[in-house]
Amino acid sequence: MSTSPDQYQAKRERISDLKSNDLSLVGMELRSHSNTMEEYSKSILYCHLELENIYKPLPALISQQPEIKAKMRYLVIDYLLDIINKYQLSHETFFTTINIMDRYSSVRIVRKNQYQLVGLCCLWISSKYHEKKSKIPPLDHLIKLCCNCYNKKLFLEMEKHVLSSIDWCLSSNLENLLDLIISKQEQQQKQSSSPVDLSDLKECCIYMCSLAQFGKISLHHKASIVACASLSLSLKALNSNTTSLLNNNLEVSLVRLLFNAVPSSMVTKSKTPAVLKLKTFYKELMMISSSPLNRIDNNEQLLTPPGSSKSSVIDAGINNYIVIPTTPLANEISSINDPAHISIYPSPVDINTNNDSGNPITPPQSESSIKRKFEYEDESFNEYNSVSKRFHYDSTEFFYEN
Amino acid sequence: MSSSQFQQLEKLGEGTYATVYKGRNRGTGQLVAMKEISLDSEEGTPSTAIREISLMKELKHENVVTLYDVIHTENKLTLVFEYMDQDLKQYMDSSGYNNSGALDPQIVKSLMFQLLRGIMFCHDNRVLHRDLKPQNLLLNNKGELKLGDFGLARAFGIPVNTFSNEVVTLWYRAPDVLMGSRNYSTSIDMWSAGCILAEMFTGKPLFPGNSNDDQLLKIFRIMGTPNERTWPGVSQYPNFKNNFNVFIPQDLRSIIPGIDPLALNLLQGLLQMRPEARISARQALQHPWFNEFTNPLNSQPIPTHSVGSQQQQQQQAQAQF
Repeated sequence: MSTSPDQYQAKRERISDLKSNDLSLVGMELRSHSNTMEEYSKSILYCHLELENIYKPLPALISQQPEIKAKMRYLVIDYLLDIINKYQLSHETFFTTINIMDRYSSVRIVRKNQYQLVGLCCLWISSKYHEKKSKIPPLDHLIKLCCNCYNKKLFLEMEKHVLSSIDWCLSSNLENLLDLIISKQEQQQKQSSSPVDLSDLKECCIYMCSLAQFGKISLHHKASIVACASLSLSLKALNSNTTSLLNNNLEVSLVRLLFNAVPSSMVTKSKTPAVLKLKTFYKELMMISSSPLNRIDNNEQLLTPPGSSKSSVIDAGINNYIVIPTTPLANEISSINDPAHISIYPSPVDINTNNDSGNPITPPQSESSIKRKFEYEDESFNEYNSVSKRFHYDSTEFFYEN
Repeated sequence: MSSSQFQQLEKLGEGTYATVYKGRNRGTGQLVAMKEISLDSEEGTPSTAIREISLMKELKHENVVTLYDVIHTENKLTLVFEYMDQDLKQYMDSSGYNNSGALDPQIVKSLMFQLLRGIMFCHDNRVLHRDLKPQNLLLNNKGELKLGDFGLARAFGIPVNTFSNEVVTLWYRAPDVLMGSRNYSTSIDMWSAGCILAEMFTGKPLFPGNSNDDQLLKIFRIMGTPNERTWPGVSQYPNFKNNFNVFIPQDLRSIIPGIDPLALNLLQGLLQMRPEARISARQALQHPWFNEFTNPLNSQPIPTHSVGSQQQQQQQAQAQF
């Protein structure tokens, strides 16, 4: 076994080449995986639900941060997602990064000139946890990514501090949860008259969940709730006729809930970050363009303002990401890369102070369409809060009672 | 240095990634095992340590070694574990009939039951150990067995092609992994458990290969060379060769003479070549071989036994059986 690392690399490449040529092998292994998951899915779901109760961010405490405002969190997440795309890291890495960053800011005071460092260290930690060795961004890359604003020593110290502050627990598992609940859809989709492709469904769910990370929804609601809401919404978006997993009233309120979480700056054209609308989401929408979700290949529709006739909330939401005119990518990213940019960013969005009721960010209301949409928010959140406990119960019972 | 709370005693062992010392809690006098990892200034905290600590914090079970504390200093990371007297390898080396390493069947049954309980707990908590071998199974003088060293462990659940196939010490590595599968899951730990079960009966490793190919050869020699008929799809594995030497399956009784037919049945379930056909930890625990532990009619606590020195051990065995 005296093989050098290079030979290992060659071997890995050979294997992956073979695999990409050999769909039946991949299929065989996936079947074998789903066999195992079938046996363990129940206990693993319970395990996730238990962990997410223990290791959750505390929005009430985050809102007391003296220097950190919701707007900055949004910018930092945007910046981190950009890096994650650049290094082609997994969705799981992204979700874990946000989870531990929020948990860190629930227990420690974060200076605004260090928020970016915290974010990068969380990214570093979660990529070490989830990714294979070759994909973990090296420290000198991370230092370059923040324009040498923080030195090596700061990174090492912050990493240590983050790890001890979050008690070494990196149990965020949104993608894993999604897999568990999506696999339960397999039977239902088979019986459906217009079945939804499960990989399309997952892609859609991942998109919704990634979106949810930007807003307060990921702070106020457990991963399982976000996962179920995104599934419910994705099923609708993909025009499925199946009975989805929630009863109708609840489903409607969850759909609204998800849309309330669209960060205000994603709705207002000028502030929509490049990474969001082009790099990740536009591509993802294009990738699932073969599915019924694709209502955008018609240019006319692209230009129609959202929500004209009977348009569902979904239409409006998706059109919002597509209609937005493209801005020069490089400029935006480099300006975000500069940490100073964060502090001079226009005044943070007002945050509704009674966090207990889970009210989302109030957007700067400029367009009528936006106003219309945000009229829902109080109603849906109250509705949501009244059923949230029941929903949590449902989400475990539903899948396994039958 | 663990200056304040823990006193460092003698060195217990050294690995590629850490050194383990015996230690004592100054406050309580309790013995602990301290695993020291030196930190690299480029890498920061190693990913193995992040995974190990993060997973062990979640795993609290009587058959998994307990992590008490983590001491993180500038150039060193120390994990403080519950102290265990020895590992299964040391125990086998120091005991058994005529120092052959073979263990008494009743002790094998007790240790195997505890091993499977530990594995089931890990799998239920979506953790793959990925490095089960006698050196990583720790025993204390009460006869309790606990899984240790989660340095290669990771959470599973997402079917991705990112798992490395350079996991598990060669001798305990499953044939599907040896042939290049990277989408393995819980079955990888079950194969290792099968190898360990056979080793406890005979005192010798079942498949002591010295390279990937040699390891496959050793497995085929006993379990038979797989083909498309016995294992549909096997020829698609990256490392499958059409010119593998063809062996017919051996009767495992010729390797483990006098094995209890029920134990043999369980062993066959664990050593299934096809990962899908391999028995799971939960199924294995319900195997009739363990009836005396699982039958509610004689619901005794899981029998443990002293695993002290060899002499003590023999006296104990005589007294017990």
